[in-house]
Amino acid sequence: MPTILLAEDDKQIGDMISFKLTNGGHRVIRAQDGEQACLLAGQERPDLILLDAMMPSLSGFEVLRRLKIDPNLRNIPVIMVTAKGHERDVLTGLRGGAVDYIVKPFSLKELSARVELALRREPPATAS
Amino acid sequence: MTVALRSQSNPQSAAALVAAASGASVAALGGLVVAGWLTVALALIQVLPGFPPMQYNTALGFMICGAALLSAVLDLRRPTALLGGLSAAMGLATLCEYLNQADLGIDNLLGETYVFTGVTNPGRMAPNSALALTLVGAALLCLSCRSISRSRHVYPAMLGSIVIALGTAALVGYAAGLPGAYGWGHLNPMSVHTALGFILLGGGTVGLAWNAALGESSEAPPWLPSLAVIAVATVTICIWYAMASGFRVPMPGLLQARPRLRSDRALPGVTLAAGILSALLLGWSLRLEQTARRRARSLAASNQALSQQSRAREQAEERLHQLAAIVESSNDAIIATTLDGSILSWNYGAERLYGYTQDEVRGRHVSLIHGSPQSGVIELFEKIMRGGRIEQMEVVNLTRDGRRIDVAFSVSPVLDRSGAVVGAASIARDITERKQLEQMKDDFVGTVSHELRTPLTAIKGFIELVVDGDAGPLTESQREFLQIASRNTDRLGTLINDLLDVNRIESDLLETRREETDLNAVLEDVSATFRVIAQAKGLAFRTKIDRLPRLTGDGPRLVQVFSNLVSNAIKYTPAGEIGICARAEAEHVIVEVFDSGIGLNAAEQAQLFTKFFRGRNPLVVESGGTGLGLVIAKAIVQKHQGSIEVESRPDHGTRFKVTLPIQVFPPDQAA
Repeated sequence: MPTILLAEDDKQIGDMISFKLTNGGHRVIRAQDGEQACLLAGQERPDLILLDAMMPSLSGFEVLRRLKIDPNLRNIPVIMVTAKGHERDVLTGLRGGAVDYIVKPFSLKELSARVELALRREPPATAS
Repeated sequence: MTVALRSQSNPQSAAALVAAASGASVAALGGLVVAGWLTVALALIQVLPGFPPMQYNTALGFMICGAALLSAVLDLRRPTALLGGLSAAMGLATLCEYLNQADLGIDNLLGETYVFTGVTNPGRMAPNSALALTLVGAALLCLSCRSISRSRHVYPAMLGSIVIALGTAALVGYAAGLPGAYGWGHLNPMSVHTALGFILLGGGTVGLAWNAALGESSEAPPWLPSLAVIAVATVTICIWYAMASGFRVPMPGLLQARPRLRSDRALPGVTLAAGILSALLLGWSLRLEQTARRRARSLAASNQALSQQSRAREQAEERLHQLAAIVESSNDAIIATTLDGSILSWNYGAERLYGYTQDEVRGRHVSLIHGSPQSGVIELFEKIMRGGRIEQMEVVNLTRDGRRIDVAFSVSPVLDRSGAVVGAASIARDITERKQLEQMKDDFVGTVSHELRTPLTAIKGFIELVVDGDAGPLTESQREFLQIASRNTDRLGTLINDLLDVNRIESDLLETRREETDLNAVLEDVSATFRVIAQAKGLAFRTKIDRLPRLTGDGPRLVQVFSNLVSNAIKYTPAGEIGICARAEAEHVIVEVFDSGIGLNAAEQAQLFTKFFRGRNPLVVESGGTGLGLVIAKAIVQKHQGSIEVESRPDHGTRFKVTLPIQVFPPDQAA
């Protein structure tokens, strides 16, 4: 059963995504902020991380940056979730190494489809 | 010029008035004497018993000359010439009679003479009168002639002065008991009132000449001294002649001839010398006086010119001072540089903005404030050198203490009198604060957007969970109602996006990417999305899209533009067809989105691109839409340097035409 780390500071949205993914047959672990996300990523080594861009303590982009410089974690696919739809954020996320990007408000079906897609991806041989 | 013309044609000067008065009085005198002859009034003919009479012809001549003077004053050239000619002819004829000792029969033309006092040729005009009459006639002829402008006043003035002199000499003769002064030899003498009449006539003629001279300049005529010399000299010569000839016409009872003394012999010569000398002295002093006046006038004129010049200079200095004060007091930094960029002047605003004093920067290169050799500065000055301007370029400048400040920078060329570019004037305004405000607004919008979207995401997600059956089975109507709720959350999401876009458009923060964009892919994307929706509504969806060249632009934004247009087309078309056609034309790509829908009337077309404008049809409300789509579409198209036009007929349909340039801007390397 694939493990998904969900970093989302809004409890209801976290519950919602978690419910959908759990129903879809995934194990979901939850982080409330950026610090916790980094911590849990290191401890649990999830198969996928869903990262909210705007979180207290550390922003999603900062968490992404830290994951990508950690050799043990850099290969875990990351999908950014954010309310900011500006191209600047999309570019920041994708350049920072995220495999995908979902803008709030999103459709849960779309989210789970993207999650499945990301999980099926071959881990990149070398990641920059 | 106007004044000159007026003074000629409508005489108001004193000189003209003198001429008119003398003309009138001489004519009156002539008339009186003629009346005297007719009524045998000897007092009119002779003035005093024993004096020679004024002859008929002389009286007639006076009447003619008086009339001629009056007509000359009124600027009636032909009558003046005619009357002047007549009097000259009369005078000449009489002179001829004397010279040839003949009788032309003109002496008693008007009436037989009956006064013979002192007269040797009964009824004949005295020779000096005849001469004076001839001269007056000639002067009037001169005056009536338009073409010879110089003679118009010089010659008549001279002739007039001689006439005055002849009359004066005769008067002096009567006063001093010198018959030779009014009667030449044994010939007929000039009567006393004839002498007076000629003085008047001569005066009138000089007055006319003076008036004519006034037309050319406001000063006293330059011939005035010569005139005085001639007049005094003529009088002197006449008196000298009278004294030297010693001829006495026997005039019993009036002035008894004295016995001649020895000393009398020298008297004529002394008188002549004294008279000529005094004539010359008078002329010379008049000339001196005139010269002095002219000098004084020219001095005054040059003085005035000088003071005007100095006033103008003062005003120019004052203006310069004001301009300098304006520059100095400006809050904006105003910097003058040479063409190679070294600083010439630096106002107080620049001191405050950059922290350098004027003395510190004078002569240094402007790259001082633009940071290390920025390639931009060189190009900028090259553009200025070609006469171009740089308006409101936003740059980051460096202050003396190393702070980076945002400034709006304008540069314009400084031209010299010939229009050549000799320098550049730069105006810099601190916009750091504005930039900070913009950033704050941007952040605020981002935060609001996040805060709005988060609950919307929750609502939408939970509804979806329920609809999808994740939370247990639903009845059909529960599902249907939840689907309506879900659609409305979508609408709300779109509205939020649109509002944010409009906000960006209004604060000019709408950003479009500059990358190579495949418009065919964009249109296919849009078609794919909306074909299904159109067909679901029963509309035909037609496309006629040529192979289009790639253009520089923002793909997702262009998708937004055409999605807005196509979704509008679907919304406003109850039945029929909608479609997209696209073609390339030289430098442009033209994309048209058309429908056979309800169309727009003129009023609607006019406010189509304004915020929250909605079509009139109630079906629109049901279809949703924010009324912002077209505003956003237009702004995006304009960001691409393109244009959007609409063509519509109510009940026939609408056609939106989007024109996009193929090369909008160089592709973005950085972003």
